[in-house]
Amino acid sequence: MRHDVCAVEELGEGELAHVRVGERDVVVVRSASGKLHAVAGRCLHQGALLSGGRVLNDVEGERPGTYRLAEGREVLKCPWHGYEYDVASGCALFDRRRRLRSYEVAEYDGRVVVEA
Amino acid sequence: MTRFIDADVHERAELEDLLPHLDPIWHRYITDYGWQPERLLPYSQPTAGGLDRLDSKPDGVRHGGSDLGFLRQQLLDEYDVAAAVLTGWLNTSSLEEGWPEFKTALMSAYNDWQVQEWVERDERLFGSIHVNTWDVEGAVREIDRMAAHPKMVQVMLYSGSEPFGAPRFHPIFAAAARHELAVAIHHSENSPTALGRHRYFIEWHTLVSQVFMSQAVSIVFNGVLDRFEGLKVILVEGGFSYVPHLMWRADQQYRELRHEVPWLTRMPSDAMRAQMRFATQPIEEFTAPQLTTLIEQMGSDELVCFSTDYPHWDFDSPLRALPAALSEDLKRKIFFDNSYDLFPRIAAQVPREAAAPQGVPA
Repeated sequence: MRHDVCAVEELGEGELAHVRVGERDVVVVRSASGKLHAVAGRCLHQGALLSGGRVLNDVEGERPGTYRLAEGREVLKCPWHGYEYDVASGCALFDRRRRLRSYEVAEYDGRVVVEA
Repeated sequence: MTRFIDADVHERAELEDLLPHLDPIWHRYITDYGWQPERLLPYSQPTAGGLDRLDSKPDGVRHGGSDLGFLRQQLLDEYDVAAAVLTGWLNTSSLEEGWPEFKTALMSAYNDWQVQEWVERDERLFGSIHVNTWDVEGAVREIDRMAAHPKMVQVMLYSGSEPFGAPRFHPIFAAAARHELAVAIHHSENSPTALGRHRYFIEWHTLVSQVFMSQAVSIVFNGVLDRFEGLKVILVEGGFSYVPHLMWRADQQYRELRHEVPWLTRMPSDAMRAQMRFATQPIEEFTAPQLTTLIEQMGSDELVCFSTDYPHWDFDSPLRALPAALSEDLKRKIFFDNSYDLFPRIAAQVPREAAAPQGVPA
């Protein structure tokens, strides 16, 4: 079943949108490369709406004091405590066993739609 | 769920907001000379919204906690809060020493602003009397002045690097006890860890509990709780998982070194159980058995008071911060009863039945 999110042009790169899928909250993410992702919309920690968060580049570094932007690896950051999730897989970056459910999302007839 | 009393809600002022309440002699130092409270923390909070929850900023720009209407909507109404204790933004006790007369005046202005703009505009909001601990005499005057307002429920000290149990601060505790006000000690960005500030925010913030251990130890071993028997002290924004360790450690030291503090009349943990309380936030992820065990190790289920720390980034949701499987009795105590018993002025104005969800008997 398709769930309408918004018009395609309303969701720019790095932006987030919220949609209700039945009883569930879902957050739709447009990555910097333009790709769409959709994952469960409430943080696994205390239930904050992730659509109020941010999409940021992940950061990597091998030794204390080294920082490098992980190009192409985008994370969804909770607006409260900052829990971070991989936008593609929904996995928490601090523990990949904790995961937001992923949803199918696509552009259809000028609209962004989640399929569930 | 049980309605709750929130022991830590931050209203936010801009310095200019305080000018109508500040003696004009001080205005130019803010308007012309640019005085700002110093922030000694060498890093920013690497969170989605900095200090604030990203979604707590009115218009997406202003500071969280700066708009009463938005705070009502996002906290008081959203979670059906029975009562909330305002804990402020500016408290000069955590600043460096110096210019005490200005800072004492600033605290008076802040208190008057808080009452006018917040406390008297919503019956659910109760206030804290902010004082400048660098001017103990002025702090006592301010407590005596503000205690006349029935909705001011505690004296607020923000922690810098001074342990507050030292005898020179005792007149502040005496004044609070005289007015049957609790004393709250709140964390601040100017508190170091035991070994300074470390390289990273994550290190500093992990070690926040050290500051509260220091303050608790200072208060207990300097005899504050013995000297002022009716006094209650609440430690705010340090969590509570450190408490069993601290109680065990302090008791063991007292058994071994009691002669150094002969003014103590009780085991430290007994004094803490009788007179010290701990706000929950920032709470760790606990299972119900873990949290129940922790409370059992504290030797009382009456010590922990729920707090959200709204609007800050590590806000704890009353819907999710406590494990769902926790006993209803313990939830009721943490969410409501323990704060209700701590703050007699809230008890005088909020019926105990307010703990029940709207329309449901308690």
